[in-house]
Amino acid sequence: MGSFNWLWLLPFLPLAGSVCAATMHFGTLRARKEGNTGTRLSSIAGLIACGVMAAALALSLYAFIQLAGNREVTALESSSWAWIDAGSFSVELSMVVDRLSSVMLLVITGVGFLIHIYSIGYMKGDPGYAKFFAYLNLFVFAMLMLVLSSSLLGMFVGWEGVGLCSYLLIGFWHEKGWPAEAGQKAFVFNRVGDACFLLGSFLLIAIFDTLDLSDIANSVQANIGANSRLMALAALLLFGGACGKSAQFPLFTWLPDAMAGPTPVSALIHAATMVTAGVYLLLRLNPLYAAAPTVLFIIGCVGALTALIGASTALMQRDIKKVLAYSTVSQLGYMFLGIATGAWSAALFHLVTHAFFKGLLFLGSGSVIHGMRDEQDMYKMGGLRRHMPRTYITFLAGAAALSGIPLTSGFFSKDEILAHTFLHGGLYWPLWIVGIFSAILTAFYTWRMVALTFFGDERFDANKIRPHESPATMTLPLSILAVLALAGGLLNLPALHIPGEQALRDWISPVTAAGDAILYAGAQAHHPSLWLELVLLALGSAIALVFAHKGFHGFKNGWQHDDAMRSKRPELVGFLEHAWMVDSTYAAKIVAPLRLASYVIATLVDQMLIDGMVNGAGRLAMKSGSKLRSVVDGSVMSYALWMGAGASILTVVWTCF
Amino acid sequence: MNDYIEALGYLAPELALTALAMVILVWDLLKKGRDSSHLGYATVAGMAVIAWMLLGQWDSLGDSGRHPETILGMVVIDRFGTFFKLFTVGSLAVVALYVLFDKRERKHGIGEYYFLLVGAAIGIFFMVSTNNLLLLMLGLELLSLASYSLAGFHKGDKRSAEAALKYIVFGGLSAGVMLYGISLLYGLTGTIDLNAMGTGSEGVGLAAQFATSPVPVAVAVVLVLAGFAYKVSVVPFHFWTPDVYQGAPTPVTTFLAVASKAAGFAVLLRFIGALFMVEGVQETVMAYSERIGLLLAILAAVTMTLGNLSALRQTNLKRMLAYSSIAHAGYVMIGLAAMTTQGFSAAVFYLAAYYFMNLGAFGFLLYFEGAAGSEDVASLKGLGWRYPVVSIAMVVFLISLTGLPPTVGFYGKLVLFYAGVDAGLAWLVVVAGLNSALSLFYYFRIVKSLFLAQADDKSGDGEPGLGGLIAVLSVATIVVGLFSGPLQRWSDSGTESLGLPPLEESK
Repeated sequence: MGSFNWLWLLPFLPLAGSVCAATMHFGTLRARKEGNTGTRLSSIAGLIACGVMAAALALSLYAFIQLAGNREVTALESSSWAWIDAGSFSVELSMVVDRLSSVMLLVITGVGFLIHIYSIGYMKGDPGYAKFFAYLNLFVFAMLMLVLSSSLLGMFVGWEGVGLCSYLLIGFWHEKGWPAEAGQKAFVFNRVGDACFLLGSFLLIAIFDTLDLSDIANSVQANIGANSRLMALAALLLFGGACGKSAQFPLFTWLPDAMAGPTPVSALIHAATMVTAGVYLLLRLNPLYAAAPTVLFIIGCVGALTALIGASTALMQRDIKKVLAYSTVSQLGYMFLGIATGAWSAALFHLVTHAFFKGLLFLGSGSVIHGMRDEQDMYKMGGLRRHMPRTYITFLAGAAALSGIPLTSGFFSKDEILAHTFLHGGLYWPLWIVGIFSAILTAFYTWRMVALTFFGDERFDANKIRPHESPATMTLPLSILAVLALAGGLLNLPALHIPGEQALRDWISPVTAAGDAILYAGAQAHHPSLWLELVLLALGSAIALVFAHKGFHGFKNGWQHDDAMRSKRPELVGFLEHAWMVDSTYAAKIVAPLRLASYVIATLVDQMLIDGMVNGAGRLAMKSGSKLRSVVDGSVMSYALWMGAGASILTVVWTCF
Repeated sequence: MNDYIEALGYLAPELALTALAMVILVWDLLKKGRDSSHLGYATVAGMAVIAWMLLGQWDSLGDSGRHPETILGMVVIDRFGTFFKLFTVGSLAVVALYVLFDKRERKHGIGEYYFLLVGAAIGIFFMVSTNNLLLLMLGLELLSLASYSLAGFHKGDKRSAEAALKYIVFGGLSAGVMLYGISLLYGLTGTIDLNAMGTGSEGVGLAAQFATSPVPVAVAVVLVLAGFAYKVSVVPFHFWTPDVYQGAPTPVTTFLAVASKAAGFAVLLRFIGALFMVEGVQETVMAYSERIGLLLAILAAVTMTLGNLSALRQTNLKRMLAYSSIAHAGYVMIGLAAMTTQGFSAAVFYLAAYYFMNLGAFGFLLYFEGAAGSEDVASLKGLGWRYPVVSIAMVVFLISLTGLPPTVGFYGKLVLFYAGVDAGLAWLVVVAGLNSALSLFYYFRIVKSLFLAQADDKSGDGEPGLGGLIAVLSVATIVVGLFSGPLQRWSDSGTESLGLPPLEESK
């Protein structure tokens, strides 16, 4: 180990791509100033960005093959580099690809590459075309830093970097106004999480005296007992960080607003990669969580609650991207539920399949929006399957996976999480019920969305809007993702006949071994018996099929079903439409008092007290400044006198004191 | 004879520098003063060669970082000296480029310009690599004489002439004072070698002398200190600085503010280290080194405060930067006053940080003089939008001079303050912190002027090459700030080669 220095290329290639694209952007601006369009420069930026992603994907595959080819080697590590070397405190940073990060790598570069290709078509003609790719590549750089860093500090750099890119990309069309506000909201919510992340890291330094991730993971076992409480607190704080980044209750409300960004951004950042960073963080530190069962239960409650809030809110949305956003919130909740039950591989499995199918659904919705001339309201769509056949077919594949139609990827991954929750029993029983209920809602809202978008009458003015199929650069990534969404379950088929033979679980077992050892402490892990697993799978299939059918038939002729609900239970519908009133609670209980307090502080404390002091000090300094200037009058004699006086004073000070 | 030849091998960089000076002089004569820009390029190329030689020397010095023998009985070859030689070479290369890029400088008949710059560098080379007070004085005088001529290089310009005259008068005064101090030291200890003076290996050690007759020792040391303090513009020996810096041609000011000042500090560090941080001295005469530490701390506090306060009201950018450089001398003095290896290393590091940010700031001044034809802060108005790259670079330098992250100035202040607190000088660090806040005020007046006002379209075009050089320096200011490890290690091993005792118990 230690010689895999080419791993540094992985994050830094996209960074170089970003710099190139940014240069192209400035070139375009200059060309525009001179009266040219500058589109050629811009399109080069897009090509560079995609090329860089292809290279990164190739490197990721190479790293994966290296790992897969030799099962003895569990991690590739570049030589480390002393980033900070200040006396007693030093931080060494290296790039590490182990079994866990190799999976993340493939998702980021693979799905990322497809989304880059898609963006070429989607962003065509946008004035900020090159800028978009500069941001997108910068995002990939930060995300790879996050995943590959050997140290929590390096991870934090990536963590902040993806947050910054998310902010920039949500507000990409900032001249419209509301995207800028949405970006700001996302940033503020993430700050809350980041503060928790930092506090957690400080605590980890205090406990382990290092920020190296593998060192921390390996020394948890030795600290159980002496430092259990501190470790639990650190775990909880880091989970708080994960809540911000991965949009968990109560910090989830920024994600739906983040849909103000271009759709490829929603697919890449707010579905496939960045929002799963929290899950990755917890997986990376799995022994820390295994040692804190209470924290795990809290995570389970938060995850289940978030799954329920997300799924129920998605029921009543009219905006197609909002449906998908709340659905993402809900699916992330499932991942955390999986972690809470100690089913590390199940959480990662769902992360991967979710990246496939949710990325696909977002890109599909983008294709729809593109064809509908920026219309996002599903009530104004309908019957699109005739106009956009490719988008339609691929969208169906994504919807099937999301709702858990049997044999699709989402079916296997979601069921595995629910099965583990069921097996865990005890306090996790209610969580299982919440999970099942959310699954019912998921199937329903997914097919409601499909029906409203692609079926029924055309509820738009066909003369004004002529829906058309998107170009090949957009439909090709859709097709690839559709295949992955359908067949992704192969990664980790349930242990039906050969117990313990699950590809993904075995693959990451070196990473999760430490956590498992603490969790089960000698006892055997829960393995469902064959019949129980069959029953659970059957239950999952039944739920998916029945409620998908209900959702589809309720809406295939329009949204009358929604209206019926609205008139029957107006307060419930309002509650759901506004995501359980979380935002308005924030506005009333946090934002308003803060505004008041900041107004008081700004006027009374700052303007009068502090400014008064500062201005007073400033005036004093200015006065003494001009006094000093009069001393420096340019005459050599007086200078010499001062020097002589100075030397005498120094001598006196030295000899007499 | 063979020994002699061998010894000359160690002086190869100095000899190369001298040869370069000769080449420049003769070449200029042959060309009869026509187009002198070749000489500028020759200077830069020569600096590259000498830097390469110095790097070789750096590597060839073993673990101790020191050549065991004193070459020709006078010259000490150690990493400390090599560090400052590299520093000088680096500054001189940039300054030579500044001269080349200086729009207002004549392009003909300025061959002596480069000759004088290289001559000054020869002086610095000798003064930073000796423990012998005689050679030190000679090097210092060589530097000074070259500097006087450089300051008055624009003979027709009244201010330049005035600057040169003031510089000579003060330089002569301080040289006299210093020589008097040196003669007293010689009289007290019977040697002119600093190490021997400190340890008392030949004749009587200074510490022993202090125990019996403190006043003559104090007078002698203060007089020598005054000479150094003049060179690095520490209050109250700084009065020449604003006038000379303002009057001299800007590239010369840059040279004085960066290379000459760093050389002064190198000598000061060596002087204090050799005389006061000697093993065994603490036990015999506690007051001996503690008092000098206190003295230096007071000088530091007064210097940074007066420097910053005076800079507040300046309307002339060049003069403001002159006062700012005085304030920065005060910051470096913290590391000196700490009287620990850590503090010395911090001071060395800060000087290196100062290299990037101050060269850049003066480069901006030069660029701006060329473009706007004025030195007033007021006439910077709105230029940020006209010359975005150079102006953003200037903002980086100002951030670094203030000491804010993520720049090298921040890291430099961090290690200085750290060393200060470790040495029990918390009060001084507080003063320095307040001073940094104060400096923000005048530094950011420049930023405000650059970006928050509308330009009146009178300014001409800047020099693109100069702009590029400034941009490179600003990138370096940030990069070295983020990745300070290598530079930190360099200044550490440079300082360690002085062979100072760890002095842990004196805290």
